[in-house]
Amino acid sequence: MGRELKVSLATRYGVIFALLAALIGSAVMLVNFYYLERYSQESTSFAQQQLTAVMEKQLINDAEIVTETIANNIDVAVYNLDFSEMYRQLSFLNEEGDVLYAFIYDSDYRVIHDDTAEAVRFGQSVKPWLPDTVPRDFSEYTQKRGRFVHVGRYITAGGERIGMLSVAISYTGAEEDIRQFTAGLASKSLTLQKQITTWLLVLISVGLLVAGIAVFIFSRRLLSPLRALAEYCRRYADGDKNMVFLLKRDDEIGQLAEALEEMRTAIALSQSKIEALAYQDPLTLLPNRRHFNRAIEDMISASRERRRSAAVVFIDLDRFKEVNDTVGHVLGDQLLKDAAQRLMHCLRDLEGHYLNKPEFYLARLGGDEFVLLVQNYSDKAYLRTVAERILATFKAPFTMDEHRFSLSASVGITLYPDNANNAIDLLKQADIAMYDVKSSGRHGYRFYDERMDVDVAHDLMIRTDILEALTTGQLFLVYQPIVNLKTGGTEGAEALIRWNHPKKGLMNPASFIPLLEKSELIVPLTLWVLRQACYDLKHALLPLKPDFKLSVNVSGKATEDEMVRHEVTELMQRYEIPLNCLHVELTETSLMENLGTCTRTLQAWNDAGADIWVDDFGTGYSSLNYLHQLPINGLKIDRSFVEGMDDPASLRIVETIINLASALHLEIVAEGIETAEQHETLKRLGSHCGQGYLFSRPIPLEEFKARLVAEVERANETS
Amino acid sequence: MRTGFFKATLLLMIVGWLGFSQAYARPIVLAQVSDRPKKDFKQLRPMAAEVAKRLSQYGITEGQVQLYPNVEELTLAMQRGEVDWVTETLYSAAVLVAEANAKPLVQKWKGGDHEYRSFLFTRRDSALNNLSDLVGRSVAFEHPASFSSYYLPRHLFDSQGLVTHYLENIRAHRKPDVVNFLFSRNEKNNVLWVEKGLVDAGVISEADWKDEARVSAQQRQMFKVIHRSEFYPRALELVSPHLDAQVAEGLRSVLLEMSPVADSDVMARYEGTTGFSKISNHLYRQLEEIYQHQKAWGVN
Repeated sequence: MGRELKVSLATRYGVIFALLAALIGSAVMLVNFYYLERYSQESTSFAQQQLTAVMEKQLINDAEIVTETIANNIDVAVYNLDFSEMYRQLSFLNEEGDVLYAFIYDSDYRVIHDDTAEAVRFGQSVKPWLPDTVPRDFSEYTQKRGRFVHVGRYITAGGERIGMLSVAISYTGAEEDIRQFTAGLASKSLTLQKQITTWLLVLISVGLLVAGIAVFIFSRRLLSPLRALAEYCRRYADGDKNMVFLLKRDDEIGQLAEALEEMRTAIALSQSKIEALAYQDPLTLLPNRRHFNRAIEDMISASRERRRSAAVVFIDLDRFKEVNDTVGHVLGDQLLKDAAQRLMHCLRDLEGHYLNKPEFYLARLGGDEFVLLVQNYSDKAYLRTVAERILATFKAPFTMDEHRFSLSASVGITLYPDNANNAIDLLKQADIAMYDVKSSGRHGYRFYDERMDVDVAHDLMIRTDILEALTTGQLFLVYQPIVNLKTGGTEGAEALIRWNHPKKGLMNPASFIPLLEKSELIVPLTLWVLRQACYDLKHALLPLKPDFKLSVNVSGKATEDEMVRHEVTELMQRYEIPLNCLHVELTETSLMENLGTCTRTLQAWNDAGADIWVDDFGTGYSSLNYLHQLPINGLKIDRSFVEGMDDPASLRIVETIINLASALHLEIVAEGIETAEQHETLKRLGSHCGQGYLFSRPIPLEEFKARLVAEVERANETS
Repeated sequence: MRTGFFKATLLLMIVGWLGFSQAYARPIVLAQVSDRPKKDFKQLRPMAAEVAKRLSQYGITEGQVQLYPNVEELTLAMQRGEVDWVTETLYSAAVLVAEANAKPLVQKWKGGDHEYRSFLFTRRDSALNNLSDLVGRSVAFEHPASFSSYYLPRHLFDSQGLVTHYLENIRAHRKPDVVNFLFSRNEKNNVLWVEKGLVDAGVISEADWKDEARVSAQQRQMFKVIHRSEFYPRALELVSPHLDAQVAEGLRSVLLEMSPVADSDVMARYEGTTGFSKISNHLYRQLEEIYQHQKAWGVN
């Protein structure tokens, strides 16, 4: 069902045409009206002029004839001064029209008769009564002046001019006739004009209506295939994918239909591509997380009927981040593609070796995480085989662009329906099992165990509570003295963090620092330690021993952070800490892991006057080149070497490290000295300083201060 | 013998009656000189009809009206016996009496006057005060057929021994030793000529003088009357000598009996007649004089 059109094109065209036609019609009407009006006015005015001219001529003619006639008839009366006859004759004039005056006068311009009953002006001069234009030489005349015709004619008796008859006749009456005539003409012309206008109006209106309807019908017909196409489009949008837009027309609408059809095909194509993208990892071309979830759900719904079991195997590459950080994402992606290839090969081999044909479904969840659904397997032993084969497949190093990387994998396995019966829980459990492997040193596999949830819950607790701890004083520093092995005097101390957890009690850094290192939470913790340590150094330690050297542990991860980097410089300046008094310790491992970001930060700190120390030296694999390149001031020999100095191999390592430091002009502190033998050996080997339970366990600040004060006093006494 | 005489007498009577009846079973014909026949016919007709009705006892069947262009024609008609009754001015009556032996019957009153006279007037600012002052001057009469404005004044000058001279027109030369007269054609011109000094004096009837339409009060103010004529009857009813005496007597009785109250309508239409009265004693003398003077002056 299509939506109702608010205004159809047909209506619109109809209306537009009608408006256009109305406009033209109005223009025609206006022009017509204008010219009719003008024609009417001009013809009326012309008629009036012509009539006026003719009537005027006629009137003048009439006036002359009348005057002449009376002048002829009145001769005897004038001769005899027969006033009553003259009066009678003159009265005929008044029958002819409006007479302004009528005078009979003699050649001396003396009035003989003035057209009054008693000829009252008889004998007077007529001149004042005649217009100036009337000739004064007693000659005949005809003059038109204003609205009057002035005529003068001789009165002759016996061949003698005995007088003049002068009259002025108005043609007001004639003018009135003309006025009435032209008014009649104008009214007739107006009537005609109205008739023409009315007819034109009717014609235009009818034409407009007919044309409007015609346009409407024509447009409807023209537009009906468009409506059909619109209907097709709606049906297509409603999901009728079999819709075909072809209309089999040769015109523009046919072309439109073809274009729509092409568009439909293109949409169908790109839709299938999108669908593929939605369910496929574009890098490895393996199914993605979404696809994998669907596979699990399919499996679950299938196995409910057949009561089959399945396993979800979570595979995470160890230390993959280092690869990315070292050689960049392009090669990192290449490595992931290779890893996917290896996994595929591995699974194909596994498929081929067993008669019961286990089914594998491998997907990439993202990053370095792969996941495998195993169905139709014989027993848990088989799953172990699978896990081992997977681990084995990463044994051979990856070679890319002259780089070689040895990678391992951590594998977590969970079972359906034994552990969970939905995709989310299964994935989560496999992840937890994998995480468990990671936590306990990577490279291995484990089956999910409910107890693992507890560890995960612990991790979660740490991450949540640390923020509260930072603000509520649950954290504090303890100080383990660093002793001059020759003199036995305290050279400095290593600040170590402790967490007095309200529920868990006192916690060692090992139980929470690694966890925090995996998140951004390491940053606020590092900042807190630095501030507290520097504060203590400035206010408690340096006053007692001006060259006191305080070591602070900083996670390599934290060196990435801008705030941490600035904080050290800032604290050095704020507390005016002397050169070489603040020692920043980074473990060898974290130093190497964060090599890219470390260098700049360490250089900045070194420039600010802090010394850089490598902690746990010997446990990681650092390149000697780096030791040279980085601004390192000293090495701390890992306690594991000190403990094992009974073994000649370990002793040699310690000796080598001490020699190396000496060669590189680095200072040495040996950690974990617990026995006098160890003390003696290290002193002999040339280690300047050391720390360990032999001298003191880590102690709170106040206790440390007391120890330091006592030592200073003892020294004073000695000296 | 007695029977025979009686029979003869009866027969004679019957014949006589028949003869009488035959002789008077005819209309009575009223006549007048007229230059406006239509108007005059209308004026005379009702009176003729009314009188005929009252004279039916004399065998008068109807009243007829005959009009003649001049007094000569009327005279001839009367002489031939074609006219029974005439209503005329003294002027025509004098001719009819003298030449056709017409008998004056009664005087006719007009405008309440049974007699009238003429006034001779000049401008008040003139030095003319009596008739003899007009010698060498000009006087305007109306027209030759006017009794009051021709016969009477000319007769007056004659009787005073003043010689009159007829002027052709107003432009004609005035003779020094005579009274120059000329015709103004009507009383209107007559008055105007005097007023404008074109003539020295004019003559109009007393009736016209008093008529505001003819002489305005202003004009009367400008004029002075220097002579008034004696009275003359305004008009006369005359009968033909051929009319039966009894009928004539009957007609006289009918006219005299007419009352301005009872017969006002028919009388008013009869030229504005206001009554009839017996003729005066000196009428015949007047008529004779008029006739004689007219003869002496000739036709003007």
